[in-house]
Amino acid sequence: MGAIARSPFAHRLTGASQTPQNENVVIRDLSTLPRIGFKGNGTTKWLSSKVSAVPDVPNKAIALSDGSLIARLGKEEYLVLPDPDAVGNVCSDLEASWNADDASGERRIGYPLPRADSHSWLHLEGRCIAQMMAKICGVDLRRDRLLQGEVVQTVVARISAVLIREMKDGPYGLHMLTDFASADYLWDVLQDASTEFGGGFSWKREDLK
Amino acid sequence: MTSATPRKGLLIDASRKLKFTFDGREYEGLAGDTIASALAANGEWILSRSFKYHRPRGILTMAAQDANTLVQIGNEVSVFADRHPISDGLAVRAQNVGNSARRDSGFVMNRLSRFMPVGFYYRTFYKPKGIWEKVWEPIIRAKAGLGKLDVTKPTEGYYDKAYGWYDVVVVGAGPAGMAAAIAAADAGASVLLVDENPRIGGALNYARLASERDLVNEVRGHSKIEIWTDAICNAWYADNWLPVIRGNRLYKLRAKQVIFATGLIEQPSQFRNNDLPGIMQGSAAQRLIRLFGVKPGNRAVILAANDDAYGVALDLFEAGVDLAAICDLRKAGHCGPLRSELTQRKVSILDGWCLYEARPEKGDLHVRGVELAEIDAEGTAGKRRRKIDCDLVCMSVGYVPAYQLPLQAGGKLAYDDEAVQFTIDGQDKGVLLAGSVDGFFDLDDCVAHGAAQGLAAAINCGYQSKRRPALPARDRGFPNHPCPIFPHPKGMDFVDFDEDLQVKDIKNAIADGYRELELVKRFSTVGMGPSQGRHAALATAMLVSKYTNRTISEVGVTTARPPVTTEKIATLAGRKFTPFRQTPMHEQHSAQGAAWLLAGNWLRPAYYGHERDAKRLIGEEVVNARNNVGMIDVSTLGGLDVRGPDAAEFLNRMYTFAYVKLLVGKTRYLLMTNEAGTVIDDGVACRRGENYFYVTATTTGVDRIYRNMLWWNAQWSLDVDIANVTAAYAGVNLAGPNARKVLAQLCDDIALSPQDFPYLAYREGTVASIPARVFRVGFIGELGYEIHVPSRFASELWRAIGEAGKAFGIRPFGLEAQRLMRLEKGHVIIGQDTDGMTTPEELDMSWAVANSKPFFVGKRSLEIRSKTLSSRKLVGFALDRMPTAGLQESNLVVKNGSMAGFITSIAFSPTLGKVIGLAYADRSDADLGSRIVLRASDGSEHHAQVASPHFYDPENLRQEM
Amino acid sequence: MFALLKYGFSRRYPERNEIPRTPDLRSHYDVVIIGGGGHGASLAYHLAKHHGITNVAILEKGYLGGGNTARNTTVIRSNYTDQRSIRFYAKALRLYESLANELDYNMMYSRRGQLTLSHSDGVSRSLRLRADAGDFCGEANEIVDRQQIRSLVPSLNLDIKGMPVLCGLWHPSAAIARHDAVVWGYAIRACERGVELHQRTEVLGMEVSGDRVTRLRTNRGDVSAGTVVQCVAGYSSVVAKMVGLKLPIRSYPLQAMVTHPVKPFLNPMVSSTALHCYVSQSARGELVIGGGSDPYELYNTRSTLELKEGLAASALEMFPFIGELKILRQWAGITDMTPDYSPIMGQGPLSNYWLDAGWGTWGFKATPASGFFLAKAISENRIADEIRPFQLSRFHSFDLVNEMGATAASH
Repeated sequence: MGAIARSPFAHRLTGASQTPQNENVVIRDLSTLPRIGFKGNGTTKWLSSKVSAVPDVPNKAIALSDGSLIARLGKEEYLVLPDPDAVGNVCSDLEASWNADDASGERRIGYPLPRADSHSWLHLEGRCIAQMMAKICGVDLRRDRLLQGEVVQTVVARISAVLIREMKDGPYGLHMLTDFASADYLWDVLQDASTEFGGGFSWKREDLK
Repeated sequence: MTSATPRKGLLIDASRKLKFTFDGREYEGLAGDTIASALAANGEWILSRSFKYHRPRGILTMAAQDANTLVQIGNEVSVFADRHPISDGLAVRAQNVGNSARRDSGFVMNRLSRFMPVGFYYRTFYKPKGIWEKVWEPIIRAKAGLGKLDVTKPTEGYYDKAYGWYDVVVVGAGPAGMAAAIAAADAGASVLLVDENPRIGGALNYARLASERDLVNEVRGHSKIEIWTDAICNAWYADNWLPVIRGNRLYKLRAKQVIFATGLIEQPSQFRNNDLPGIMQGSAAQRLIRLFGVKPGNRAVILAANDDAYGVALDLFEAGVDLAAICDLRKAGHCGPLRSELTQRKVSILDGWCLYEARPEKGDLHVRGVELAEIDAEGTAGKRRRKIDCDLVCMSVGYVPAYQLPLQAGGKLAYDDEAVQFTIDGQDKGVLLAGSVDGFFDLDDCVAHGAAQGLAAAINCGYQSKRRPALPARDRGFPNHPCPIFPHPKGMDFVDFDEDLQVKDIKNAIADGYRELELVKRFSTVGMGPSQGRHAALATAMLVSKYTNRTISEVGVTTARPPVTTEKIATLAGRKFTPFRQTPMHEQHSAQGAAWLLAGNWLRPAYYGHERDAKRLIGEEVVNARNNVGMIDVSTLGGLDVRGPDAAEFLNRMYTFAYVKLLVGKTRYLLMTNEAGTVIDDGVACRRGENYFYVTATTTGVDRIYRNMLWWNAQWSLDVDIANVTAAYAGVNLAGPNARKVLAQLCDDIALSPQDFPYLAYREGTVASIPARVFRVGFIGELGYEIHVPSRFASELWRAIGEAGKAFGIRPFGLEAQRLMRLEKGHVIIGQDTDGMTTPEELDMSWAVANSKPFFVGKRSLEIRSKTLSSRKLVGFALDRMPTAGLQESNLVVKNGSMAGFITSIAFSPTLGKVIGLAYADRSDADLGSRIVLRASDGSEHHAQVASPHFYDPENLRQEM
Repeated sequence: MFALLKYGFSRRYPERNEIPRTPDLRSHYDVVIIGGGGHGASLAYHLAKHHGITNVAILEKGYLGGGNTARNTTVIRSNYTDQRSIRFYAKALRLYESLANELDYNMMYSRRGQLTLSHSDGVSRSLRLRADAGDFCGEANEIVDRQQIRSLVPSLNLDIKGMPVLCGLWHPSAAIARHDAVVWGYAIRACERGVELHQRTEVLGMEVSGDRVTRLRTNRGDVSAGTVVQCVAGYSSVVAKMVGLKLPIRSYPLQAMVTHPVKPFLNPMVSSTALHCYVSQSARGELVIGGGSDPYELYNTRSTLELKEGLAASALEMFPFIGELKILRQWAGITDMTPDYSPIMGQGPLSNYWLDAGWGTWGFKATPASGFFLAKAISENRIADEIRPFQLSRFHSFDLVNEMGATAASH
């Protein structure tokens, strides 16, 4: 593929770089990174045969050894996110593997979903994330309520969102995946909600492609 | 009444002086003062004028409950002066006054009150016919309203919302609420204690009460209790969903258990001139003294019907107020400990006397004295009278529970005729009541009850406790008088201060036949004003009971609806969350000068260029696409991946056409009807594989179609998976005679010749090195390719096509040009050329209905509807030129003096050089060549000829090139 | 006026007892009307006044006019889409215009005009259809542009972010009235003519024999009737079920709220379907803010707070200076929505059981006309042409009177 993937937030990431005043709310755009979903009859069985483990119940995520996350969104629906800081090949490997199995005529192996194009991907980190999210999301995301690896499929500022509590110790981290086409709207919402905490988006020139 | 010594009160800081104005006059107050307390400290007792008669009104409750206290600050109307703090420079105005609260020209209405019996407006002003609208209504309308808005001043300030979660939310931080919070928190629950006052403590802060426990500090020191003061829980919604307003933020809280410890609302007594400034609740006087250090008067008469009145008397005494008399409605024999303290001080106490009339200063500006009367055997004011001078009257005759929140939570209000009090029962199981709102009046009982309920709440949340909740008995000290109403022949004995309703108004409403409490209320408007009946509901029920010979419990009591107290529209609105969607090419369209149009929640280019040139630009876009090549962003088109062994069968059931035999690599038109057989969507099915269809749907319809599909398949259980991939695929429609040449520049892995890639075929490959789904459809009627690519790469696709097309005269076109060209081609737009009744037959699209299929959604209804065809049909029509009156979409098609239909689409076709359109016309006129009559909005009628809607290239030579 | 002066000087109040005490329930009436709201009272009045049918009982489970009559937002208008609806509502409008004098009771009919805003091409088209259809039927209606809107409602914000106002439908004869007074006026004049109003009288069940309703069971005893009519908006399905009738009705809650009264600044009623909101200012000066009876099930019955928040946000968009104005109270009514957003009038399958149902959000404005035509139909046992299109049978023949577009957020 010759073309370069573009984030739906790209037009907002202007100027050299931006860093919020403090570490209360730091939002990073990961939309240009790969991600993939699978759903449909047979997905669980097929995916289990490709990776070391999958979450045993919906709305849970587990980390694989390479740092990538597998989130289970339904009985037969999954979302795979690579480690943002060390992107491996998990998504492309799974996709290739699915294509190969499909081509060989295997049935009931679920279907891939183009999550990298249907959803933008933000990473939110900092001590005030839960407080900030409480302004735009009706689900209790406080540290002691949303445990690491827990997944919430909900509505954020009136658009659907998948929220995943990061599986790392340290500051509270949340992955947020929302409608690709609503990025411009979401940017303003998050900017507005995070201002009172001195937070906001963070990017460096070298992140911009 | 300004005292030389500095004021001392729980809420004020005597070291910080603040200046503010009221009706333009400057006053000095202290930090912590409310507007009302600061004015009172300055000897200014008049806060407002009454709604109807413009009578002077002042402090009644000091608890932000009554309309007497409403003032205006900027564009904020009806501010509670007894709750709103003063600040330096605050400009406060009286509402609905001719000049100022003190000098109001509207006071003349007071003299006219006798000519305005209850409901008089129902009986007057309409004779002779027409006079109401011409003369009276404008006059009466000008009198309406209290505050005045400056409509040029948009609301400023940042208002927002937040959610919150607690085990137990306790509303009301009085003794019972605090005890409840402590007990629940001790048992391990996370507790939020909410109180509308600036300080927790409730009546402990102002009433003559002494608790053994230091509840305030116990609460403050508890790590599991969060305290919100100046916070108002304004409603209860199902599942303990509580809106709490704190400053400019609306919190929406979810609590496992809610405890309402909302306390009591003290009630006034009804006697002549009971509304004069200087006449207030006993609790209001206590609040002034203890909270704000304001002496409420110099010489007081106290109207008592319970022992709390004696506490008030002692407080006044200690504050240096002369006690002229205590007039106790009860017969002799009440000798609580407080009373003996007063008798020791030689205060005159009249047992079995009532307050019959308050005497006013000139202009009714303040109370000057009272006339007391001994209560006779009938319980009414007797002949023995006594006049006493005073400038303060305090009433302590009874309470009603603050029942609003418990009632919203499903509680039923009943009246215990013997105990003369309201009871509340049956509220939602997640809701507990604590303290006086539940009928406990003794302080120790309230604390014990609160503690028991707090513990019960924690246990209900799942916390363990060795202790068990122990509820106190509910049988000590009933403070309510059965009927503290003493009507006066001259009236002005107000039942409802907000609406200026007197005893006789209630009596007369009943005499007119409005006997049901709700009818009394609606006929007289009692309880409809800003204080929502807080001080009028009980008195009204008492009067209705008295005049209809029923008990109060038979009369029933009214309901309570949210909000409890007022809430600003901006608070409810909060931040505006109106999602909108943009395609990945949005920025490029902007750079190309797009004029935007909202399609569903998508922003789409209508055309490219300036608005003033719109018509020309659209025409040029059309001509260019017809002659060279154009490109349009079709990313908003719905996209659904339908996959699985039953995919074809699924489409067969969802859509009217047949898909089982569609070949891989082919597309077919999709038409969807609902269960009534009405056309609701269309699109194209691309068969990517044996078990894989890529389905398009209309921009505005796709979300509903997707939901429909999931709903239907939940019943059918076909082996199919449906994914809404609308946002994941962006698309460009490349159309025009040069389209193939442009595409050839960018695509080397799809054979593009007409034989290899014919009309209606579907191919996959790469375009500009981007993996693409490409299919040939002809919405605008030219050789065209619809190219769908993953969204992340779409802006690159747009750029590459524009670049490659340069040599062939490519130009982007917007939605307007597309709509025009599809009209030239005779393609309908669902939603524009269809309405809530349209059948495929009316559209002449029976070809897209496979009747031989055993089932599709809508089939049964269509069979019924085909038996008696509707009277209309969608036809094409043409006119040589646009009439000067102008014809527009939705203009009527008329026939024989009736509406036969309407124009759904009309435009001047730059390609054909005439006006063309689609319209519903009478079925009998559907034949080609018939003439139909189009009616312009100005009523003029224009003949048009029915023509084939396929105006442009009817043989489809161009799109099948 | 003279009466007022007389009262003012005499000090003796003329006890009118115009709503009679509930009498004992007799065993038989010529007509029993279930439901003592506006429609029931209007029907009784018209039966008595024009057709001499006075042996009539109105059975009301609560108090007079305590159902949806008390809960609507009092909009009276005729700007519909279908010719048949326009004619029907136009009749109601005409009757309303002279109702105070007809009933000798001032219901404070107030002609304000209604402005319906469009923020999209699609809505603009549907507004033009209503304008043209109304104009064609002789009902004043017109499309107004932004400039005209500015002069009609100077305080209205036309540049709402993301959805600027494109045009509006102006319906100058739209009005409001004191809703309670309408039902009282009808009931008083009906009772004067011998109709019995039975408050606190609930129908618990009905017996059917053959194609007739033979007996009604109430909490105050049984009663039989020559003809039974149900006028129970909000409970239509429940009551119809008592005679074994299933109506094509879904019941939705609808919310409205009023603010503190302020000095008048808004004369017309203003509504926007896109914002799901309409705003008017009552005679008392309160802003009345109501929501749309949207064709989509956007809200469920429990999300009343969210609905209120949405309404407030929309009202603030339209009038940006009302942010600090406060909500005084809110309420909800149950609306009986039919598939085509038009009412059901006429006989059901039973020969002596008449329906007056499916009034969604358009019941109040129809009050005089439903009573007028139904009384005529019942007295003649023949459906009047004006209400023929609204019979229950249309849902089987698909000859619907589609008013979806004319109903959302416009009431």
